Amino acid sequence: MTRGALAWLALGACLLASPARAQSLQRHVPAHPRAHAPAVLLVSGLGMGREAWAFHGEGLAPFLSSRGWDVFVLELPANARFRDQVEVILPAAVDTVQSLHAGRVVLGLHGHGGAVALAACGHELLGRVAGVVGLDTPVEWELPNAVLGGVLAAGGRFGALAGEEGRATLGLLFTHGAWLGSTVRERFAAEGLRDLSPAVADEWLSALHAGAPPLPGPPFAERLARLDIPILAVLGARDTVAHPEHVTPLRERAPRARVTFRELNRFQGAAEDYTHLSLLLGAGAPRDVFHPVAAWLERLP
Amino acid sequence: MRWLLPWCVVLAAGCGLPWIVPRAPGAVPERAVARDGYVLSLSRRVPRGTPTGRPVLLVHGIGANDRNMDLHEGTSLAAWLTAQGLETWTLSLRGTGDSERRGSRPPYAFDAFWREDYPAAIARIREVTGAGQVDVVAHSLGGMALYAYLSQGGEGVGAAVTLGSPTRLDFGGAVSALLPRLRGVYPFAGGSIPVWALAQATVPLQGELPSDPFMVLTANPQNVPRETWKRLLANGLADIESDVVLQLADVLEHGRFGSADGTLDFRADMARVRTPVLVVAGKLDRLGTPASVRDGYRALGGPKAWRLFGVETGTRADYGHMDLIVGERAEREVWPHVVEFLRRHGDSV
Repeated sequence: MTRGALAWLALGACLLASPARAQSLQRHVPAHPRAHAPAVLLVSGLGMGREAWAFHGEGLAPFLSSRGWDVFVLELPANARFRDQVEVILPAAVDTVQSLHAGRVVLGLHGHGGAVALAACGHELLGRVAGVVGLDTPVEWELPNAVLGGVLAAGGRFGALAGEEGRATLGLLFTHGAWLGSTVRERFAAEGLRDLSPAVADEWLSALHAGAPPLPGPPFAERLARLDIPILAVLGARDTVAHPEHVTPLRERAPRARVTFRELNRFQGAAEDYTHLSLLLGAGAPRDVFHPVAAWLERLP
Repeated sequence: MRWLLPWCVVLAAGCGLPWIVPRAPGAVPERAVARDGYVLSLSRRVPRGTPTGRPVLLVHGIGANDRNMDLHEGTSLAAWLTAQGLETWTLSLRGTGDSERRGSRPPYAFDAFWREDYPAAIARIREVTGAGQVDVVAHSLGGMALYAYLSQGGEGVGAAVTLGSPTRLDFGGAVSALLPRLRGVYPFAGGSIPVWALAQATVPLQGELPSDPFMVLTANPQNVPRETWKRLLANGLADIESDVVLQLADVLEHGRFGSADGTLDFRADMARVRTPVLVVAGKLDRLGTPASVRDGYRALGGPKAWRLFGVETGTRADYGHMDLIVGERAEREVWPHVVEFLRRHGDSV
């Protein structure tokens, strides 16, 4: 981590309307800020903490910060319902970011949690977001496999996967086939996964069965159709939590968005066929994921 | 220098000889004649006792022949289905296997497969067996041609299974990067891409290198043993007509799945398909990626079903493109789902 990135300015728990809506926003201040660059707000995904974006010096947050971007990481609370996320937490986070960094905001999203934030860009955040980077952010909602269904049906205890009993499930969802550094492989499950509240787990499972998250106001599909921003959609071929085939309909469902797909697989020279976790913290991610993201951000109008 | 070419071909063919194997026993050669005169090679297998469903037509993918579906005893989807009580027929699309090559006939593109070859093969099977309808199991490009055929009426098909068949490849993946490069081969290849000779010449090396690019693209070594892989290359490949590649490049680079003349939009017309279709994808398929295969599933009118084969859904290893038809555990992990679907949508079982 650079000294700039180490200057994690904890804006800390910005307590909103209730403890259930508490959010934690961290800032990675660049040592050498880029002129006129947008702030980047990275939003944690389903069952993951802020460590997904910055884990012991690895991750997209320190990478972008070291290259001059002002990066913020938002961890969604474990008990945040869909309604809370789109109506309260995400708008408040963007407010906070813009109060500290005048100008545009680009969102960095991951998995199904990211898809909810993407939907917010079509209503609550409409006109406030300059672009989105989505790492396996599905717009077609369907339970990807019985493994994830089992975790959610059991109350969404992702944090418990770090234990001996959860090892097999952890492997299937996060580490199977992934090329991870030893620190990530040994410690991420214990430090970076989060238990959901049972009600939130149930809401997620219902949404995956129903085909879309139940959102207040315009439905999911209508929100996507309103998107009129550039989107970089990165596809991890071996993601078992958010399948790439559930991401690719984005082009049809958001016809006004300028969507660029980047499919990562070994045949095209990627270090691995990326998984849900290795897209974020894989040993090859700086070259295969972070550099292309930075290049895309540089080209943003 | 023109005298050199035949010798190169002979030498290349010699490299693959140790891996030339006969297909599983029990197949009877048949033939069908397409409306434009092409003679197509079919191979028929009849089960012991009375067949338990409609006859099943098996169709291979691009640059391949019907041996993909009937490689040898122990690795044969055709023989396995027959052992389950189904009468099976394999087809070599025109220009492949023992089917007629272009020769002095006009060049053909992808459209010939669905417009000519499918109707001819289905008509012949109906004629021989007396069946009112035929089920189809098709791999890769064979499935794409099947989608096109179904989208334009699909006469004579009762139910279908596609294995790793994409309908768009413009997601920045392996094939969308590869197809434009293949365009460059056209001027040097005399109208076809010499896949057969290339495969024969390289069989001894195939599968021996840790990151063999062809294998990385087309199979997962955890599912396909090296010896099976070499046999597949020695027996199961065929040259590709450049016009076939050009049509696929045009329609797949830009995500448009339609006829070469632009008058038909297969993807849009797939919404009218009412034939039951099981769409199968391999998690580690880098040719027919799950995203590109899912696009076809989405386009179909239904009834339809989707199955992804990978560790997350209970297989020992993630499935690649060829694994679905020659994988060493496919008869336990994949093919039973094919039979189950066909039986569920059969008219006589």
